[in-house]
Formats: sequence, C-alpha cells, structure tokens
Amino acid sequence: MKYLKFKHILLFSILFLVLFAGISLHAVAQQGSVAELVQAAEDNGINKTTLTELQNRAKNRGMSEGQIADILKPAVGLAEQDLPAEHIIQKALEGLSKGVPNGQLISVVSRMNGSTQQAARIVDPWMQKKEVQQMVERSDGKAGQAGVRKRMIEVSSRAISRNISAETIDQVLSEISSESVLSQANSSDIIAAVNIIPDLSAGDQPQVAQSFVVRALKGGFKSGDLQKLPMAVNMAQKRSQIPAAGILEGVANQLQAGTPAAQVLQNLFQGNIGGGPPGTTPKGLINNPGQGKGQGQGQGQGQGQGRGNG
Amino acid sequence: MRIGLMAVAMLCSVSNIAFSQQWQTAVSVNSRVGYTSNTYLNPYFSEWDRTVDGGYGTLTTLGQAIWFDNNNEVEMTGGLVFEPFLGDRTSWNGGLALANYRYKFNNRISAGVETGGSYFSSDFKRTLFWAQPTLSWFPGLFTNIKLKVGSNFRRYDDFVIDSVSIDSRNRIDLYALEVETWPSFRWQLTAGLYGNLDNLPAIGEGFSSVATVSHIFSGGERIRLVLGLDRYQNQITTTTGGGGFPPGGTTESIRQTDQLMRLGLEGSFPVNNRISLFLDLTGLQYQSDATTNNLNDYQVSGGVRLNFRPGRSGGRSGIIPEWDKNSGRQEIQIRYAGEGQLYLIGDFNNWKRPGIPLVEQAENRYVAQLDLEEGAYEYKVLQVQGGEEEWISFSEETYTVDDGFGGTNAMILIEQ
Repeated sequence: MKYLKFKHILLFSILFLVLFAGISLHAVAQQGSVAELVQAAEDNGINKTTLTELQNRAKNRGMSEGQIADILKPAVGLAEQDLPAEHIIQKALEGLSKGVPNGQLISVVSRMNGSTQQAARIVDPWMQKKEVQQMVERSDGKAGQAGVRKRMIEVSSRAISRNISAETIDQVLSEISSESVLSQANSSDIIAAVNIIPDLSAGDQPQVAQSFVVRALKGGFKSGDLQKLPMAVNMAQKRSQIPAAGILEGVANQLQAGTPAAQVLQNLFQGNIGGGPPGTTPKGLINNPGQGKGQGQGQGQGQGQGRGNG
Repeated sequence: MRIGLMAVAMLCSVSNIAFSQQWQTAVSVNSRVGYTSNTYLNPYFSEWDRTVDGGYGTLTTLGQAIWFDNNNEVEMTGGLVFEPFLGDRTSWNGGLALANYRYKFNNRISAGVETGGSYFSSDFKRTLFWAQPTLSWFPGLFTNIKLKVGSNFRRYDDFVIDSVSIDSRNRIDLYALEVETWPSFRWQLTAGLYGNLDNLPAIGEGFSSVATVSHIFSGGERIRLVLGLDRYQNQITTTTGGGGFPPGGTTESIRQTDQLMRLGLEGSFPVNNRISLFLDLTGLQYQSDATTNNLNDYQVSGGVRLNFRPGRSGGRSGIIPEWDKNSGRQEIQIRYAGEGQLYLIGDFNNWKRPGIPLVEQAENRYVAQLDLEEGAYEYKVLQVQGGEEEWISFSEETYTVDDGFGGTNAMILIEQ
C-alpha cells in the first residue's frame, strides 16, 4: 500500500516537473523569440523607442508573447529584406490605441506584410528606370533615392491592401514614366498620386481611378492638389456633377468647395441661366433686325428659338 | 423685384433648415461696364435693338444655397440686377430666382427638375418662368450628358412695336441637350443644343446652339472661347398689287431663315480668394436669306466680382482640419464648438493617447504645431471630457482614408 502511495506521489511529481519545466521552457523560448525579434528589428533600423512603445502597450493590453511576436515577425522580415517596416509597427500601434481586437490587428499586419512585398516587386524595377532616377535626383538629391523608394513602397502597399491590384499600380507607374510627365513632376507628386488611388470614389473601377491620377499628373497637378482629388470626386459625385470642375476650383482655391456655386453664378453673370432655358426669337429681331425694338416694319411670326436670358 | 425678395427669403430658410446636413452658401457681387452696338449682346437685357447708344453698366448681387445628402440635392439661387444705360433708355432692373433639385440614382445617372423665373422692367416689362425635368448621364468621371425637356412661359407688357404698346404671353415647349467633357483637368469642352419641341424631328427649322472651349491655368485664371449659332425661321406674309375693287392683289407667304453667329472670348483672373477681374469680348453676325447684307455687332465689357461664403460650418457634420504647411513647420487649425479638450493623435506620435493637445487660441479655434518630416501621416482628433474619450468625426470635405480596421483616419501629405 505504502509502495503504491509512494509510486503515485513519484508519478505525480515527475508529471508536475515535466509540465512545469515544459511551460517554463516554452515561455523562455517565447521571451527569447520576442527579445530576438526586437533586437533583429533594431539591428535592421526600426526605431527602438517605437518598438519599446509597442511592447509596453501590447503587454498592457494583455497580448501574449506569441501575439506580440506575430506582429514583430512580419516587420523584421521586411526590414531584413531592406523593405519598409515601420508602417507595420505604426499600424499595430494604431490598432492598440483604438482597441482593435488582437486577432484583427494581427490579421491586418499580416496583410500589410504581403502587400508590402508585392509593392516592392513593382516599385523597385520602376525606380531603376533612368527617367525616374533623374526625377528623384532632381527633386530629392542623390541621397533621396532610399527615402523615395520607402515612401513609394508604403503608399503602393496601402493601395494593394485596399484591393487595388498590383497590375493597376504597375500600369499607373508605367503610364507616368514618360519623360514628359516626370520632367514636370517631383517624387512627392508621384507618391501623392499613388496614395490617392484607393481613396477615389471610383475605387470600384480601378481603371477609372488610374486614368484620373494619370491625367492629373499629366495636367501638372502637384501633391497638394492631388490630395484634394478624393474629396472633390466624392463631393461632386454626391452632387451629380463632374469632379474635374470641382477639383479645379478647389485647386484654384476659389470659393473652396463651393465650385458649383461659382460655375452657376458665372453663367448667371453672363446673362445665361445655366445654359438655358431656351427662349424665342428676340422681339426686336422679329420686327426688324436692322433696327430694333419699336422701330421695325416686318410682320413675321417667330418660329425659332434661342437661349434665354434673365 | 418680387422674385428677388422671394429668392432671398428662400435662401435664408434653406440655410437654417439645412444646418444639420451638408450645405454651402455663396454670395457674389458683380460689377460690370461695357459697350455694345446691339443690346441683344447685353447681359440680362438681351433684346434686339441697334438704334441706341449701347453703353451700359450692371450691378448684380447673387446668392446661392445648396443642400445635399447622399442622393438628394437642392440648389437655390436668387439675386437682384440693376442695369443703367448710358443713353436715354430707362434702367433695366429686376431679379431672378432658380430652384433646382437632383436625385442621384447612382454615380452614373441622376434626374431632377430645374425651375426658375425672372422679372425685369424698363420701358417695358418682361417676365419669364420655366420648369424642365432633367436627366443626367455620366459615362465617366469626365463627361456629363444632360437632357432637359420642359416649358417656358414668357410675358411682355408695354412692349412697343410701331409706336403701339403690346402685351403678349406665350408658352414654348422646349428641349435641351447639353454635353460637358474634360479632356484633361485644364481643358473643359461644352456644347448645347436648344430647340422647340414642335420642330422635332426637323431640328434645322429653328434652334440655338453654343459650344465653349475653356482653359484653366494653375493659378485659377480662366480663358473661354465661345461659339454660337442660332437659327430662326419666320413665316413672312406680303400682299402686292390690288387695292381697288374687285380685289386683285396677290398674297404671298414665304419662309425666311435668319442666322446669328456668335464668337466670344472671355477671361477671368482671380486676384485673391474673394476678388476676381473679368473681360468679355463678343462678336455677332446676323445673316438672312431675305437680304444679302449681313449685320455685324460687337460687345466689350469688363469688371470685378466679389465672392463671399457667409456660412459653412462643420457643425454636426464633422470638423474640417486646415493645415498650414508653408512655414517649414506644420500648423493645424480646427474649428470646434463642442466641449472638452482636443488632442491630435496619429502616426506622428505613435498613436499614443491622449496625444498632442490642440490649444484653443480663439473662440472655437484650436491650434497645434508639428514638425514633421516628408511623408504621409494618418491621424485622428480625440476629445477628452470628464475622463471620457471620444473620436471626433471629420467632415466629408476632409481627406480621409480607410484605416484597415473598419474606421477612417484623416491623412496629410508633407512634401518638401
């Protein structure tokens, strides 16, 4: 009996030790993996303060080490490939700040990882083009190549993660690669153009959005103007008007978003009421075109019509 | 005048009703002086008279209020016109009002109704009223095709013909087809065809048409070329011979076709957000198959226009961040009439709550300064009151982006 009792105690003790040791070892391994990931991230240029901020906030939110690692791994992976990674950390910080559920946050980060890699496959060959390099050198200097590449990949990644196909981004970049466009644009303009593609209301028709930004760049729009495009398109479509008109007024800074007002009033000041309504033959013309009101001798009866006036 | 007053009343009421919705208002004052050899080319007057001194001036005040939500839009415009002539003619004064409604079925098709009226008086009085249902089709983001069909009512009082004062009223049922397209953001092309429904399908029996080509420069300067062709057909009845008994005269009825060809050049130059200058040149040629002599007329005018936006508020529809990026650093200004303390939070502070405080510098005007490097930054504004934190929504005029989590962030691009 005593032997059996001792045997049970021994068995439970061994089981306890194995379980305890296993859990502890696993935790250590995970801790090591987060620490290693943080170190790797730092070594690859990700800001240390930002990483510390992420760790602290994630822990305060009750995130497990494994979940923190799931956020860090894509960032480290990108950084090790010399791809932008801080936007992933920023997105994680944003999610934590907004109280986004852990699973959703990790899923978004994971998607950003894939879209960043896709974006790089498009942006890197484009950056190698002679005309592009000349444009970047002109606007940012030789040292600016890395910064422009980083921002181009980031905005392209954002577009791809917003369901704009990699092909659409590729087409936009190839359409604006001509010297005629790049000679009058700078890197900020191109970055702004790619950045707004997913935000245009025509996002459900990528080819339309593509045409929109290409025309804007060819038309000499600068980054500040381009930022106004999504808002102008949205407002114009709400009001069943051509967005181009709204954009131009916005760019020209006249009446700001009051474009249609400006256009309608312009017509009214010209005496035309929005291109109509049509009217009848001027009375003076009916009676005597060579003279005028009250002077004519004709007896004709007007059958035609002209645009009316107020 | 009555119409003008009604318009002002309507504008006021719309502004109040629509406060909680998306709305805009604008008021413009336009002052012009000009000369024309034919008052047909005179804005607003537009009656054929080549016999008087054509110097004129106009002072016009127009106001507009627009209310809209996702599918509906109401646009009210009204104003008063004072137009003195340099000669003996009495001033041409009056008012006009327009009320348009549009319903958007989708991004490609909308329909509505355009109505309006005007009343002017001088030696004679002219009253117009029109109502025309419209159908708009947007084949793409750069093109709009609009079809209108409706009625136009005209009334003239004390209009003198052969020293006889005549009052007349008539109604015309009209169609209009208008096309607007933008080959690029700098070029606008428009074309319009207007005619009497009775003439269809023989459009050539009478129509009015206009085509314009506009170029808009980066500073907002605009130049527009206007081409117009109007065609009128008149039934002329003449009696020759006879006069004695039995009647032996011959009555002959012929159809006379008149054409008006118009060529105009208009330019406008914005001095600043509120003031713009403009210049108009117009040439007109009258041709008729009843005579070999063409008549040529011209008009030249110029003036100044003042634009005001008396009312636009984020109100309940969200805040509108205004960025000043010109001084090397960046300054954000927000007008906010609510309670509590506002904070700016975004990529620039690692989304750390509560964020960068927005300081109230004047009544309801909050400001913060940042020192950002080149790049795209997403951000939000947080309101903190009594320990409670709440995101403030942005107006629809603010550039916002999907945050990937089912919400939106505002975005600002910082360039070199």
